[in-house]
Amino acid sequence: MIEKKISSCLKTIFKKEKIPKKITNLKYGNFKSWDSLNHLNLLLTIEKKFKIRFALNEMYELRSVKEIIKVIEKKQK
Amino acid sequence: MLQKLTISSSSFLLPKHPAWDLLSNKYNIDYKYIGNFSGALLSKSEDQILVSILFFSDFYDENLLNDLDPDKVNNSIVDLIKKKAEVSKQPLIFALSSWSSFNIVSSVFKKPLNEKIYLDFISRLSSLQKTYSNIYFFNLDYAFANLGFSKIFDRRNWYLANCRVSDIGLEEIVKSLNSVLERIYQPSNKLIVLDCDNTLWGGIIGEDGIKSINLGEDGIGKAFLDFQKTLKGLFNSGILLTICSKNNEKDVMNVFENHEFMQIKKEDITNFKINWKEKSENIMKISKELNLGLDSFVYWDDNPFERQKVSKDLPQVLTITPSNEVENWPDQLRTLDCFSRFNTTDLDKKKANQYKIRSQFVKGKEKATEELSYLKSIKLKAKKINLNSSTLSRTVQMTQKTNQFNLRSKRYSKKDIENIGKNKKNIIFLTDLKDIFGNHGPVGLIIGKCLNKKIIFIDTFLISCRVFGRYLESWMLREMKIIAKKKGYKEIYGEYIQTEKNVISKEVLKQHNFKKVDKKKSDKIFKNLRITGELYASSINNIKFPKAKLYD
Repeated sequence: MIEKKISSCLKTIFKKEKIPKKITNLKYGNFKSWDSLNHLNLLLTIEKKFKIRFALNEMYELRSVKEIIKVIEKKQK
Repeated sequence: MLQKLTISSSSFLLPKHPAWDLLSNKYNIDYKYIGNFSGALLSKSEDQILVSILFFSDFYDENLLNDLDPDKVNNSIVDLIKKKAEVSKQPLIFALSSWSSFNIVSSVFKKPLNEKIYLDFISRLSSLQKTYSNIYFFNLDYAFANLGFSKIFDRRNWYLANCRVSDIGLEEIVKSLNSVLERIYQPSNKLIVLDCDNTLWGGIIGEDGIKSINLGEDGIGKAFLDFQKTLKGLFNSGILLTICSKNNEKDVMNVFENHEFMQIKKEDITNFKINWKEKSENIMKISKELNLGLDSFVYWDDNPFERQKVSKDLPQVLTITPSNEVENWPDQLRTLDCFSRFNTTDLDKKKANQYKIRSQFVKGKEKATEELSYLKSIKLKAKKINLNSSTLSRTVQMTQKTNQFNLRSKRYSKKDIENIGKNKKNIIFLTDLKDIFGNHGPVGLIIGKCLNKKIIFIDTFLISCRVFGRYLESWMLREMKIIAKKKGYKEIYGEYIQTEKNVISKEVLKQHNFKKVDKKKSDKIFKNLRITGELYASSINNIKFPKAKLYD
C-alpha cells in the first residue's frame, strides 16, 4: 500500500521517466531528472499524500525509497 | 503555441512543483528567474508576460531588528520596474507579501519594518501604474490570511531550500496568479440569471404568501437581504440582473412591488422570465433578446435539479453551486471570480439601462406585424459626429471592443486613429443614434481609406450590438457615399473578414448592391493592404440603400 502511493508520487514528479514496478531499490540520482530540486518536490508530494511531515534533518537524510518507506512506517504507528 | 510566462521571485519557489501545473498547462513557463527577480527585470525580452513574486522579508534581515529606511530598500527595485515597464509590451504582474513574524505588543507604538516598506512600495507602484497601464500588483497576504499564515509560511522549507512557503502556500500563490491572468485575457461575465423562491427570499411565494416569506432584518431573512444587497452592488457596477423563475408572474411581481425589504427593485431587473417553461429555454430567450452570448451568463439557483438541467443543456452558461448554507451566499457572491474586474468605468454603469432598452425594443419588434412601420414608429434619428479630441477615445474603444457587427475587426490605438484622421483624403465619422427608447450615444463607426484618386476602401465599419435591427448600417453607408462623392471618388471597395463572432455582418455589403470581386484582379489596387477576406466593390452610383429612408 505504501509502495503504491509512493509510486504514484514518483509518477507525478518524474512525468517523463519510466517508473519500474518494483520501486524499493530506487534512490536519488537514479534518473537523469532526479536532481536535488525534484528530490525536494518528491518529498513534499509524499508528505501531502501521506499527510505526514518530515523534519528538517530527515529531509536532508532521506535519499532512497527504502529509507522513505521506513520513516513513513514509523510515523504512521 | 502557448504564450510565454516568466516567473520570477525574491526567494526560491520550487520550480516544477506540481502546484505550478495550473499555470504550466496554459503557459509556456520559464522558471529561470525564480530566486532572481532582478535578473528578470533586467532581461531584454519584451514579449513575455512577467510575474514577480516578492516577499519583503527577503529585502532585509528579519533577525536584526534595526531601523531601516524604506527608501533604501525600495529605490533600486522601483527603478528596475520602471525601466522594464518602459520597454515591455506585455503585462508585468507583481504579487506581494509583506508578512513577517512579529510581536503584537512591540507593534503598538512602533510600526513593524515590513509594514513600512510595503506601504512605501505600493504607493510608488501605484503612481507608476498611472503611466504604465501594463503594471498589475496585488497583495498576496489577503489570499494567505484565508488559510492562516502559519499554514502558508514554512521555516523548514526556508532553511532547507530558501523557500518561504509550504506547498499549500505555493498553491495559493499559483491560484491568485491564475485569477489575475485570466482576467487580463478574458472579459468578465456580464449577467446573472436568478431564481426567486429560496434564492432571493426564503420560502415559496406561491404557497407561503408575501407575509410569510423570509426576507428581513433578522435571522435567515437577513442573509437573503444581504444576498440581495450584494446583487444590488453588482448591478451598480454594471452587471445585469435577470430573473428566471417557475412561478405565477403575479405572485413574484407582487413581492417586487410590495415587499418592504426587497433590495432589488423591479426596475433593476433587465429581463423577467416568470413562467412554467424549462429554464434553459428561458435563458436562451434572454440571450437572444439582449443579444448577449451565453458565455457571459452566470446562473444562480438553490435547486440542484434545475442547476443540473441547465448545466447539461447550456454548458456555456456558468452555473454556480451555491453553498448549502444561505448565510455564506453574500461572501460567496462577492468573491466570485467571474464578475471580478480591474476597474469599473462610468460607461459600464450605464450599460444595464442600455440593455434594458434593447430588450424592450426586441420585444416590441417581435409583437409588431409589420417591421418597417414599427421601426418608423420608434422615430429613429441618426447624426454624424466628426473625429475630434473629445471623441477620440470612444473611437479607439469601439475598434477594440466591437465584435459582432464589425466587417474587418481591425483594432486601433489612439496614435493609429489620429494618423488616419490627419489624412484629409480619408473618411472617418462616428454615428450617434436616438429613438423613443432613449439616446444611445455614439454606436457606429466608419473609416474609409483612400486607395487612389478614384477608389476609397471601407477600412472599418462597425455598429454596437445594442442597436442592431434598426438598419443603421444603411444610413451610415449612405452618409459615407455622399462624402465620398464630394471628394471625387468613383468606386467604393469593402472587405469582410470572418471571425468567430461577426457572422451578422457577412451580408451587409451584398445587401447594398456591392458585388464580389476576384482577389487576383485587385492585387494592383491593394499594394499595401493584404486582402484575406471576401472582397466587394461597387461604383459609387450603383450602391442601394433600401432602408435608409427610415431615417429621413
